[in-house]
Amino acid sequence: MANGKDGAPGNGGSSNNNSKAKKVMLLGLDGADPAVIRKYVAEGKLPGFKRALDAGVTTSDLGMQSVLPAITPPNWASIATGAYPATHGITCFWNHTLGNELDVLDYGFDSGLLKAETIWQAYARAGKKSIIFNYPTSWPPQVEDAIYVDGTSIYTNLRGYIDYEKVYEGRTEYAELIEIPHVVDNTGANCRFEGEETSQKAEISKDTYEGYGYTQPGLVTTTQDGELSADVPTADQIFTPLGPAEGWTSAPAGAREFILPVNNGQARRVGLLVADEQGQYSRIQIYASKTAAVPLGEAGPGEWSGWIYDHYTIDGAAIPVAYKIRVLELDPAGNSFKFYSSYVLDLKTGKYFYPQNIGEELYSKVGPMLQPSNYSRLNPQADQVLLESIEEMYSWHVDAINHLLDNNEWDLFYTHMHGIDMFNHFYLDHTLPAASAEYERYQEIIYKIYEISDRFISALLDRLDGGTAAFIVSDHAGVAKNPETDHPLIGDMWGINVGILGDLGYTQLKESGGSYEIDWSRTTAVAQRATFIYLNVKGRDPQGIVDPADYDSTVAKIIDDLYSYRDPKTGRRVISFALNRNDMEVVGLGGENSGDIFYILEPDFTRCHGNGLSNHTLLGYSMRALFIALGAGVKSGEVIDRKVKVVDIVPTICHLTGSPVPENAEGGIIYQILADSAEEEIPVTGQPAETGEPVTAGTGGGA
Amino acid sequence: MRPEIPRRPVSHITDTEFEALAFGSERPVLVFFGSRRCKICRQLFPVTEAIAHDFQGRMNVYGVDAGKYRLLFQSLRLRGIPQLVLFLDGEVKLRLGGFHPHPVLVDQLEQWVP
Repeated sequence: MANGKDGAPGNGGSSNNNSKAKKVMLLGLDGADPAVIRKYVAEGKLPGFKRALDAGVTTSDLGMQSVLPAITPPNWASIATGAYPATHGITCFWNHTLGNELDVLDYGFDSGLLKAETIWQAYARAGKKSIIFNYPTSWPPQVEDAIYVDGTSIYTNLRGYIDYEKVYEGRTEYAELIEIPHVVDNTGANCRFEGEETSQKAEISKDTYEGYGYTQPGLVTTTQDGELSADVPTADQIFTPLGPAEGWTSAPAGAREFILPVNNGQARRVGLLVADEQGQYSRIQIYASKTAAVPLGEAGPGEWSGWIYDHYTIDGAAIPVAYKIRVLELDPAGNSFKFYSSYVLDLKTGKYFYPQNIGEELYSKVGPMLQPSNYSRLNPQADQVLLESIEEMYSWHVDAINHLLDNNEWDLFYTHMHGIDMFNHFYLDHTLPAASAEYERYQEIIYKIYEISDRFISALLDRLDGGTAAFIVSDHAGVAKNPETDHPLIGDMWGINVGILGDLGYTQLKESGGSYEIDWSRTTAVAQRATFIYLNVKGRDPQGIVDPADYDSTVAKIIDDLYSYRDPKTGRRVISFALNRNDMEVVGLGGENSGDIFYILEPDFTRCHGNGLSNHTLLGYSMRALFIALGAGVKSGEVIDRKVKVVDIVPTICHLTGSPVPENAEGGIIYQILADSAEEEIPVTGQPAETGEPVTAGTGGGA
Repeated sequence: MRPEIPRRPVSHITDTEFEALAFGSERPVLVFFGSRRCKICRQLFPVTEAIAHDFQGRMNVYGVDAGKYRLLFQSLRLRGIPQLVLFLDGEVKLRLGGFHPHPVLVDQLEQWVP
């Protein structure tokens, strides 16, 4: 197989024999802010990033320009294809295609939406092999001879869990068991359903997009409806009576028992609260039954259990599962306890692994993966549990990635980790003294996720062997909310935002069944997703009322109104700029997946990221993406004087490795990072470094 | 005129009884979740009583007012009524939503109930 391992050209005639790197690792850190990394490194922190910067190349501010909107799926799609959103077709967290109802949105983490060739598809044309690990827009798999781990959401396995996270609270005064699921299903007893629905599944309503924050977006009429609603912590809550252990085969003297609902309320396990030799209650144990000789797992105050292995009945079959508990409170007198129970991982099904057996292989060789907790937030204990769980998740990823890279042939490795972005969304607003009395604690939490990310990249950079290059990148960063302003009711990626467009008279609502819905018969335009406004055009949109003859004048009028709009609280202009369909092509947008108007908010009104310009900065934070390259074929310890864009990554990798460039790539080779003499190159292991003119990639300079 | 199908009365239970009578039962338990306001529930309930007759001595059969005990209904992650839920060895083994004819239910339950 001509896979480039010996420097030989692949098939298709578009590889060359001048490759300077044999393998490339792309380490994606969603939400990583170059400005924050610069600050920490200057303070002597983040040794992994420092090592990468010393060994490699970056720009003067460590940054590169995101594509717009500066949101996860469009940018990772550009980092995978080298193409702009107008070309690859993914234009926000959720997508819309012209011709569908304006409130019909498609989930953006979907390779089926991608219209541009990915780098791993181009590699496959040359017989080169890729491993793609939790990379947005990579799933479902498009390449037969490649390895995929998930890619359907922000975290690996977020949609592969079999039971939701829970908080169990036991008290001696509780008289009966009460379980409150995290989702109150509207199709349940509140809304009579008299149909032929047949469900034998012993599982919660796991709709295609379920996972925290990933329910279908809808109408945004308050600032709590939109993106903020996706961030709300949730867990199943269980209140369970605590009483003397009775009927056990071998319960310790004085032990107190309780019942644990598991498997989405479909089954029960039993627990014991056990005292130490001094009579102080100090351990929680979970058993399969009262006759079991040993517990499935146990933990003391402030501790995590080890992995708890069990079997849950799903569709009549016994499925092996794993989870952990973490004790939050435990009364030494034995009258109460509270513990967190993690998402439960399905160890068998391998729903989001390709080949499917990779899941079982990783769980058996590396162990199960702990999902970051989300049961509560903005209190020291819950924040600590989240940090502990996400640290374990990152550690698992290092081991799982190393296992795959050690045991499989590969030329290209792409991964993405989402911890920093989630922490930006959860905590960044609270890091400002004007926003929170606990700002220093929140600043420390932000630092911790960078520290965890630092250890992650450091562990994987240990793999650099002279023949491997690495790119450490982010898709965007994030800014804290300006305490002086409120988020405007426009530019929310979670659906259709009716605030400002309603005030301006373009979006009209009507009451229906006690709630509001859009009155399409009177609506001329809607603000959809993070940055788009759509006219409701007759003949194009299913419920259209705007005459196509009035299209241009209506677009111009809306743009006028947006520029004139002032924030009621501060009097400041909210919109930074707005572009019509023709003009938005200069920022890589347009076509059937973009709106009729693309707009960007002023930095003061930006909601973390996404509706702000990717170059915006605010109060010490920025929205820029991170760019560091190092390893084989890359200069060492240099800062280049050129603007880098996310679309430039793919052409540069292809040039470095002599690989075919994806068909739709629009970025250019970042020539300025390339080691231009043999002395500067890190030799490829086992053979002298090769030199030569690049023949494969790019148009140079970007679009 | 169709011959009358033999039936056995099905008693309704409360949320406080549910844990012991369903999850805690050593014998298989079939629970009918429904409401008198639901037409299909009214059609399915006599079928459930026929099942109670058929499985007498092998399986306990109870009814739960889904409208009255909403939290219990939600805690079992049920969607819509009527629902028949089979408990065996302390866990849910089978859930059947909507109307099902008597022979179909018998076939389904015979696969599980010893």
